[in-house]
Formats: sequence, structure tokens, C-alpha cells
Amino acid sequence: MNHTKQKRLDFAIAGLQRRWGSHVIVPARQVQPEQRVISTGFPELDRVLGGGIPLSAITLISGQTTSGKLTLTYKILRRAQQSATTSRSPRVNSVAILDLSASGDPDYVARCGIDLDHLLLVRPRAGKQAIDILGDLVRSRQLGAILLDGLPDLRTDPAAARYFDHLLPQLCLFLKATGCALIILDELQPPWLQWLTGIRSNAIQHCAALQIELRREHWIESKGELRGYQAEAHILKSQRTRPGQVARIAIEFNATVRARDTW
Amino acid sequence: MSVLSCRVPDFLIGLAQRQKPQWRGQPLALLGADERISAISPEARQSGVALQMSARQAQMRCPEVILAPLDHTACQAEQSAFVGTLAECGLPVQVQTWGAAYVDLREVASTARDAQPICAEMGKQIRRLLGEPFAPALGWDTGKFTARAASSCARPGHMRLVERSDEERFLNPLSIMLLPLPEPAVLQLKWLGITTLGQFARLPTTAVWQRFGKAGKLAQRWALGRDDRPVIPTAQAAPTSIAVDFDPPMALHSQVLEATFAALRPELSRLADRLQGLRHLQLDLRFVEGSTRVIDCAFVEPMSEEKHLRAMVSHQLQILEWAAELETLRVTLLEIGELVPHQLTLFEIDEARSSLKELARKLSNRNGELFFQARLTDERHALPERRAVFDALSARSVNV
Repeated sequence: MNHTKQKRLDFAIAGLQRRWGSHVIVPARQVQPEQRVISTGFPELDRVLGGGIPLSAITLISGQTTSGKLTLTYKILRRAQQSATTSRSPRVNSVAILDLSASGDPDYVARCGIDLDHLLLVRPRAGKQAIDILGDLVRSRQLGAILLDGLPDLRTDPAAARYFDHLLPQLCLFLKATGCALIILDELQPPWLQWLTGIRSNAIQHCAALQIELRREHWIESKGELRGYQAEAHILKSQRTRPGQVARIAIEFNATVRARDTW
Repeated sequence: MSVLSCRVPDFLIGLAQRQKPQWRGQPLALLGADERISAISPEARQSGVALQMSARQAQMRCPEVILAPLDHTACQAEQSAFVGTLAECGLPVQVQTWGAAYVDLREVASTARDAQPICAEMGKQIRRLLGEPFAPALGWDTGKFTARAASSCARPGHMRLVERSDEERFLNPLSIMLLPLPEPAVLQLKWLGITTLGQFARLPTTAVWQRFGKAGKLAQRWALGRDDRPVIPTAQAAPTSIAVDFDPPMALHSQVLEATFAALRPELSRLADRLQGLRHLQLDLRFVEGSTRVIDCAFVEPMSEEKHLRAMVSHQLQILEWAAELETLRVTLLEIGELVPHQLTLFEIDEARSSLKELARKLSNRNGELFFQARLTDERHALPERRAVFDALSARSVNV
């Protein structure tokens, strides 16, 4: 841009700012992008994800059993509760868990740091009911994050799975409007099982803004005792950062029931 | 001043349920003549159904809601009997709303101790008249507003007498929702973080006047316990009449409506400033060919908001068979009543309930008892399943 054009532009901007206020035109380099993410609690994973998992969108976390899906998600829920707390207002966000498999353990949830007073646990009886409740919870605008635990359980009912696929675009719009984060936990299934159940829809993968696959890498041992395990988080899809990146997370647990500050 | 406020909770709903006992415990909503919700049962209220909603809106909030038309004649007869019972003592009685009235005890009791036996006797008579399920809640004070607040706080079948010295202590912690302020004012107060009458009373008077107008200033006086309105017997209130002449005569519905409300607007504004509303409106229409028609618009609750009145009058004018062009319209404000707070509020503030429990309660009504909150009981127990319990957040458990 030559000098004359730049001068004209500066004059035009100054005129507009004089008339409508200085806030109407702001140089792009001065605009701070709004932090619309929830930290995962694992710095390396946060770095790979560009800050954390996105709010107002669906995050799909998949992986095999004991790959660390639930622990990672509980840590995210804890951060979601804390995200509303500021120095001036000690408000805690409420979060909800749709426990389709009815296997949620409050003791473990509490040890992951989640405030149980601000946690709503829902145990729907049927898949379709779960989806309706999920819609209601999102529309309520009172929750910071919702965890849908048990996508395989939902898939056992083909009608419910189809209903969910059908409602997903609508759900995405509601999430965008309400600022709530929806985390869906999925278990990796062999292709032959998908063929057997007849559900080969990729609607969730399509609608998810972030897709993480967790793979357990190795156990962490110390003095002959199992202390935890290390897992790899593969970013399969991300709208904020480059997909294909890998982050390593170490999930430590106490072999005894009485866990101390390990979480 | 010595005022008794006698209130029968859910009077209209109770009458409907007395006719059809199978509706007891069900979410029930009664539709008025303007096809808007005029009365709701506590179960329907829990599901989010509010007054002045359309039937469709109510069904969207609560699919199980039973919608029934309000039997205005039967309710009016019961209301007359209710007022008649209160007036048996020969004391002035002013109707407040359905199943609620003020009684002026100035001549017979000046202190709470004197008023107590009289109030108890009146309560018993009301219960005898209406039957066992209708238990009146009584409130006594030296002003109308505090008496009404006392009756709102009293449980059905009980009375709350407030001494002059205890007024401030009694009123301060009560919810701001007891004041019949218009909806925008209530929302503003909520945004300002003012939730109790005490907080509202402590605001500078000039600031309240500037922001909320005359109605706000009056409401603040009430919040301070300074309510010197006399009890005026309903029969003695003189009706106000406004005539609108159409020259040339008119047949267009919209123009007639506009002219009517242009004439009525100052009166409505005056009523709103006094926190009053219209309960019964009569329209006398005279057509050019000499015939006349009379339209009676009776509202379930007193109204001062133009949009609601306009909807009602517009509906009545549309269903009327017009004989010819309209020459004269006379509007008579037959009955004026005190605004009812819950008519103007969108929400109920209850600080004890967290938003999460409220959400669970609403969803429980629709989906059943599927919502839980976990609580750790014994963190050191050897068995994981014994360390925590799930508390069901059902509608019943939360509303206790």
C-alpha cells in the first residue's frame, strides 16, 4: 500500500473512530482471541490442542479400556468447574455426567477433584431418553460441560443411535448458543463388530470439533509396584490445531484404595 | 390501622379439583376467557408453566399438563360466598383477588393480642364454608402490604400476626417478589442484586423514584412497612367511566381499538402508578342505526399492562357481530384491584435452592427420577461402593 492510500485509510479510520468511538475499528493485530477452551490438566496435551478442548462444541474421546479416557475427562470436568471462578467471584460451574452404563464411581470422581455439589449425575433408562435429556441439559444454559459416558451403550439400540445422529446438527447449534462443552466417550470397536451391529455412521466424528484417541503405551512401575501408566493422545481431528499430533500423558494412581494427592 | 389479610392458597385450582378429584396432584392449568392461563397448580408451576401463557406454551413446558377452561360463574359464586363469610362480622371487606381479601379490624382490634381470636374465628368460618382442603392463611398487621406479606408467609391453616415493633425485622428478609412491581422493574432489581425487601427499602428514595417511577416509590414505602391505604369495601368503590365518540362513525376494528386505548391509557397509567389493575371492564357500544351492545371483560387477576388488556378487548371486538358503524363507545372500569405479584414475575427467587437442583427438579418432572447428586459418606471405607451415596434429586425431595 502506497503512502497516499495509507494516509487516506488512516483518515477514514480516525473519522469513524471520532464518530462512533475508538472501539469500532481495532487493528487485527491488537485483537486478542477469546479463550474458549477448557484446559485438560495435562500441559503437553494442552499445548498440542492449542489450550484445551473447545467450548461450545463436541469433543470425542475414544480409546480402549484402561487407556485413560475417563480420567482425562474427569480432569477436564474439574477444570470446567473451576473455569468460572475468578478472584472477584468464587462461582463454580456446574457439570453433568450422563452415565449410560450406570458405572460412575463418585469416590473416583471426587478423587479426580470434581466438586460433587456441582455435579449432576444422570442415569437414563433408555438410549432415546438419554438423548432427550442431553438436549434439555444443553438448552438449560446452566452447565459448563456435559460428559456423555457410554457411546457403545447408546449404539446397542440402533433406533437410539439413529435418533442421536439425526439430532447432532441441532445439538451443535445449541452448544454454540449456550457455550457448553460436550464430551463423548467412545470405545474403539473392531470393524467386524460395527458390521455386526449395522451401525456404520460417522455423524459424531463429522460433528465433533475435536477427536482424540488414547492409546495406552506402557505401565509405570516403581519399586516393583504399579504406579500408573503412560498413554498417547493422538489428535485425529481438530479445528484449532494441526491434526496428527501426539501428546504423552502420564496417569498415576495409587495401588491402594486410599489415594492421596495423586490426582 | 388494623388489617387482616385472608388468603386461600390456590383457590381457583382448589375449586376445579373439588369438582374433579382425579386432578389432585396433577399439573393443572385453567384457561381464562382470553384463552390464556389464568390459574396454575403447584405441580404445573414446578414444571415451568406460568400465568398468561398460551395453552401451547404451557404444553411445551409441561406436556402432561391438564388444560381446563375456568368456570367463571361457579368461581364467582364461591368468591361471593367467601367474601360474604368475611363480611358477616359487619366489618369492611375489600376483595384482593380470588380467595383473598382484606378485612378492616380497626374498630375491634388494635393490637395483635386483640386480633388473634377474631382472626382465628374468621379462619374457622372460611374453612367451614369451603371445606377441609381449603385452609386459609391469615396475616395481620397495621398496613395492608405487611398483612398480605404475613399471609403469604403463613402456612395454610395458620396465621401470622406482625406487631408494629417487629415489622422491620419481619419484612427485611422477605423476597422482593412480594412487591407487585412490573416485570422490567423486577428484572432490573434482580440484575442489581436486590433480592430482599430490606435491600430495596435501604435504597435512596430519589434513586428509586428516578429509576422506577411512582410505582417504585410506592413499593419502597410498602417495603418500609409504611402502607396507609385504607380498606375500601368493594361495593363502595365508584366505577370510572370514559366515553369515546367517533365522528365520523367507524367500523374498522383496529381504529376503534386504537381510539379506545388512547382514551384509556392515562387511566391505566394512573392505576399502574398505584400498583393497581383492572379486574372488570365493561364496553358499551352504540351503533349509528341505534342498536347497542355491551361487552363484559372480566379478568381473573387485576391487570394494568396494556398489551394484555388490548389482547382481551381486541378478541372481544373481533367476535362481536357489528350491526353498523360505531358511533360511541363507553368504557367503564367496574372493578379495580390490587396487582398480584406473581402475575408480573417470571421466576421465583429461592436462594436455598441451587440452580443445579432447580434444573434437576424441572427435568425430573418430565423424565422421572433419573437425576442424582453424589455425596461422600465414608471416604476411608474399604469397599469403593460404600464410600459414596447417590441422593436422588427428584421433584418431591427438592420441594420439601
